[in-house]
Amino acid sequence: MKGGRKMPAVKRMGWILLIAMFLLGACSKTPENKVYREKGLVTGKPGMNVYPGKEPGETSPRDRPYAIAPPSVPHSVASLTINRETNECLDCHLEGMEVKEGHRATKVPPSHFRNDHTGETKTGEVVGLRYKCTQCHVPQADEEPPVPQMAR
Amino acid sequence: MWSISCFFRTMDTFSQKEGREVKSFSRREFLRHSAVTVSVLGATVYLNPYEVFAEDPLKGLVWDKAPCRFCGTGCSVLVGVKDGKIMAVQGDPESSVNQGTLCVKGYSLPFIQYGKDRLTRPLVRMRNGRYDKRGELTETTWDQALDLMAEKAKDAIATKGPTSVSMFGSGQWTIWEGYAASKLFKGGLRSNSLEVNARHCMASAVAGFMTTYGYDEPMGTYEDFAHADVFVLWGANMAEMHPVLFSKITDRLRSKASARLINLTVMTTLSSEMAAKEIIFKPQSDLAIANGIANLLIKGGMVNEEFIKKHVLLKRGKEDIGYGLEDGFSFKEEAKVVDFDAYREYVSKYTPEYVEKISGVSPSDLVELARLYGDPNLKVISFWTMGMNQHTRGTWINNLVHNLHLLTGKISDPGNQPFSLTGQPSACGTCREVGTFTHRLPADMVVSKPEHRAMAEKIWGLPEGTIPAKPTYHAIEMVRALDRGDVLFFWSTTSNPFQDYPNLNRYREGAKKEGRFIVVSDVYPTRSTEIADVVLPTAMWLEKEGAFGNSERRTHFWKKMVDAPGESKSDLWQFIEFAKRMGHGKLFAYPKSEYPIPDRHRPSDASATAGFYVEKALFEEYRKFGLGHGHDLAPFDVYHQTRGLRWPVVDGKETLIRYREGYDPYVEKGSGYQFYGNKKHGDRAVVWLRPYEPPPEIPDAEYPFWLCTGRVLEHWHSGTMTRRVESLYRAYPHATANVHPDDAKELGLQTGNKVKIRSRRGYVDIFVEVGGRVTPQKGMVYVPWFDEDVMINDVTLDAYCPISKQNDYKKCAVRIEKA
Repeated sequence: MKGGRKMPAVKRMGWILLIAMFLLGACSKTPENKVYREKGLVTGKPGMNVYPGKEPGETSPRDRPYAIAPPSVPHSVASLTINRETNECLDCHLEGMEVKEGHRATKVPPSHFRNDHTGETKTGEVVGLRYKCTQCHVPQADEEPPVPQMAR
Repeated sequence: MWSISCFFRTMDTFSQKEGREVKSFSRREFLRHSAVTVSVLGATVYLNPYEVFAEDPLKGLVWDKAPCRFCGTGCSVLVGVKDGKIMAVQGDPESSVNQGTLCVKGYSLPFIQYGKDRLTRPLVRMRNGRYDKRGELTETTWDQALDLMAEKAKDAIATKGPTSVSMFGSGQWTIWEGYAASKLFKGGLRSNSLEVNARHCMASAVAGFMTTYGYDEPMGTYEDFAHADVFVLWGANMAEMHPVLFSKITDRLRSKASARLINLTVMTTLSSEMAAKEIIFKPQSDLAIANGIANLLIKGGMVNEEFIKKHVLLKRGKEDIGYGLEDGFSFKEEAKVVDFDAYREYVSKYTPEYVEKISGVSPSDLVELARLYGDPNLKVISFWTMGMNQHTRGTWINNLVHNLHLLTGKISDPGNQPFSLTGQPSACGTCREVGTFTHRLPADMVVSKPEHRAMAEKIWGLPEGTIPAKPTYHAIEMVRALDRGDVLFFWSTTSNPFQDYPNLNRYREGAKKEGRFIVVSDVYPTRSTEIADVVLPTAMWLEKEGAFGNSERRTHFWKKMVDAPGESKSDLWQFIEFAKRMGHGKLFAYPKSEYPIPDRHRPSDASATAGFYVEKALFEEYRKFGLGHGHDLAPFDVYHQTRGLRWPVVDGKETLIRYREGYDPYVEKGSGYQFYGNKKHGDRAVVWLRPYEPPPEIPDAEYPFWLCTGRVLEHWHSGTMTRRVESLYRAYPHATANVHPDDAKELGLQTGNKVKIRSRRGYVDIFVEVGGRVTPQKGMVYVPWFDEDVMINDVTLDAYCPISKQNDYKKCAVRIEKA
């Protein structure tokens, strides 16, 4: 309903009565005639992706969405190389290196050294399926989504 | 020889584990098995022990299995449910697909059903209490919404005939949803105006397989990854789009030093990082590259002459075929059989120098590619997805890549396969196998063949001549018909057409025209619901019972695990209720005694309403289409006991390699290979003579850049699910325009500058990112399409492959304007 001009009180009462009567009539068929106003994800503005925390060790990762979800990355990964020979993520995370005083990189957990389907296990080296860290561990921009998640 | 016997061993172990053993399970045994699995899993924190938890974080969760809701990889996830909500997922170690791992989207699955703005009530556009195209979306009842839909559909049929009633579904439909839609439209309403967004996604792969082998879908499976020496990506950024499959490549590369990945691409992507060689080529020039490789194979004596002699037929098709830019465009193939000399002559012009001129690929790179394909000691898998499929010559480039495998005999052999990847969880299982396209019927049959229609009519219990013989509108033509007024009723489900279609301005405006009635079944408000006349709140994924079919022919079921919010109903329920109102309720009436809802089973809304097991009834009927001719599916109950089975499933055994003796039960002893989809060609596969042709719109002085669109790792399709998950939204909040550093310099642009990207059809406002995760070649800009605030399809061109009718979203001409 769009906002209208002000009208005299008596006239307004009349209108309200009329509308109320109409709505009562309509109600016998439709329980509610509520207009739907959700905008969804549309904000009307494009944006940039900016990830805070430039250096490893500057910030802590956000809380995981649930206990067994992969932790996010609290630093930029743009300059990190993960190729066949080199995995710069593992340089710090394989052993949980102290990257800054009092800040240890999150240590790669035991699950990453074995393949639970084939039974393959590795020592000192993550299995091939888990080698590409950024498949699951991604940085987080400091932004709130236009539509929040429901609490569960 | 060694590798083959080794492969056999792997298969045996594997099938005992998953496929064959379960067949002998009685119901009671399965229940016991499930109970064990569940209780083991419940206690098994070891699956993902990132840390030592003070308290068991999985306590009280009840676990069951399901395929992931996103891409066509078909990972199996274990889903933990508590108090009627999905609380956690983990990669399923039992599944040979993902072997206990997932990608970042997979881990976000617990949240995709719980965005705060879930649609929970049917909405009808109303003014003054009644339907009005210019009114506002207003909450109503299912009865009112469905009655109005039936009234409008009947009006449309009365005015313009049954073909004016259309449905646009997707590769996210469950198998029985697609099957019910096909039965309702083709057998009930007598309208072939049924299409799916898979037309935008893998129609060219289908046309490629059909024209080459007579039957659709890859011959190999993911088991092949562990046997390949060379992986060639043909314009596929697997690292972002099929991350778990890419990790299987990584696994192979890390375990075998001589294995290598070649990334043939139009831009530098994350997939390049693992590649031994990245080869950048100009848009559309893949056609020339493939022919150039074929030429070198022949010139260098690297073809497998014996294989060609026994198993290959050569054909040349029509070559002046157009681009589908005009309404009512039609195409008819005129193919003739040719001999090998004609083929040799045909490809001889694609010399390395000529190919370089077209593609920018150096002669030495081309020679190296030919060597890899040609070396009999190297096993090669070619992968492709949207790069080859969204292509105005999509069928041709599919044919040309199949050619390379047929010329060398590197096909239907462990580690030697042409392998198309699908983008949606059931593009194969539903769209391709059920055949939810205007021209198709289940199991690779088509409406245009009388014997195929007769079979469908028999299975459906319909009088002869019920199913119309003529295909009507493929996806692009469907919305053109809507704009013109030939389609009056358009029902979209499990897709987001009014963000997804190319040249979108025209089709959004068309849908808004008076007299067009648009129904959108969805989960959340989207760019499509905002112009719908009716919005139906829809149950998704674990809120219903489902089945998907992945890229390796794996049919995988799941059970309903949680209730849908509010009044949401599944597509299946919606289709059956609509069918009843259209006088076709009998299409979905099955004997209750034959399909009882099992004890302790949580029935879907469709089954609960029907009073019998609708999913089972539909699937058992659907199976009849494929039995006995290479498309066999197992009985319904078997799938609930496995992590999926790869068809054809014959005598309880799945098939890991098709068309090959010893692997495929349909191949006769002593034949070696039989491409039995091509019975008319004596079971031979077809090598096609296809030329290079430029695309319809090429950058010029006015619009000097190529625009290539696509996806990013964290978001799926139009982002309606993934952008509602906080962790995924934050991981990649917005679509940006990636440009090459040299272009940025020339235009005076820096990361963070706002620009307009404009084509002849429309523009978007967007921020520039120089380089970044994707660095396009010079002269190209890359924009993903997941962002509702960057409607990049206002800019794209609606040109398509005349054979597959699949649109090219990868190439059009744009300019970049500084804001």
